[in-house]
Amino acid sequence: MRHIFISLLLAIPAAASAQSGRINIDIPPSLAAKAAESVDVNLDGAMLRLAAKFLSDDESEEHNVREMVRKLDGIYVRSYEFDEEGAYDRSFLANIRAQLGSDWKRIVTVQSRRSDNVEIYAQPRGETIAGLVILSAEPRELTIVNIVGPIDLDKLASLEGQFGIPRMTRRSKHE
Amino acid sequence: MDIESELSHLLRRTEPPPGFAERVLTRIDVEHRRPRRRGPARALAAAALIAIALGGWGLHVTLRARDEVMTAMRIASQKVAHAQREVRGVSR
Repeated sequence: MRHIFISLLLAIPAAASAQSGRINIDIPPSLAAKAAESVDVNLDGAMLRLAAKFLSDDESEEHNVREMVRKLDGIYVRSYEFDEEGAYDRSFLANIRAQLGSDWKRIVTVQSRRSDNVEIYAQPRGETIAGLVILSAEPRELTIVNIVGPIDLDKLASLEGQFGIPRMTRRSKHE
Repeated sequence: MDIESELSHLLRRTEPPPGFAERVLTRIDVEHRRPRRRGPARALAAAALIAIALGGWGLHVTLRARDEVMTAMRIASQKVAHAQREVRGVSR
């Protein structure tokens, strides 16, 4: 009974934050320590608005990012690259999924043995999206993205070719 | 010697040593010319340095946030675009 009560106390804040589009991304320090490269971004709404003022209004990619992040309430990213395959336990992602209540919808699942496994969850609010969670698990890379606030998925995807990275075309199985 | 005559001896009027008045005036002049304490000026300078340091730190934090925004959006856009390509590829 006591364990149930403690579990409920721990689960309530996580569920409450997930309702607001924000999830709790607690990466075990041991996992982060194994990574050869890591990206850790924690930007709340105030920092986003401040940072947006320093994004150029002239260059196309910065202008587009600026327009997009101005409306957001937070961006949180954890991305880890490992030297070896299987350096992390994929069951860790279950902790993230468990936070997503019934108001979150899984809109895309890509499963591949060789490359990226991507799951995209959105929290619809009216005709817009109030929150977005991207879980990407590759053999040597783990990425979790949480975007809080209204975001247009097509516009977000269209940014890919604007960061100096050429757009990738889907490889056929025969290649 | 009784106490009255002893007091009158001690309190008798005597002339100052030669040059006493000049030495006193010279000393007063030197005291007046000594630079005043620069406390307020130092405090202002310290406040200005702190303000510059805080401003520099604030700018540093903001520029780092700007770089983090670009990194985060680059990662998010790559993942979403990859998923879109896969979905469109399957539905063809």
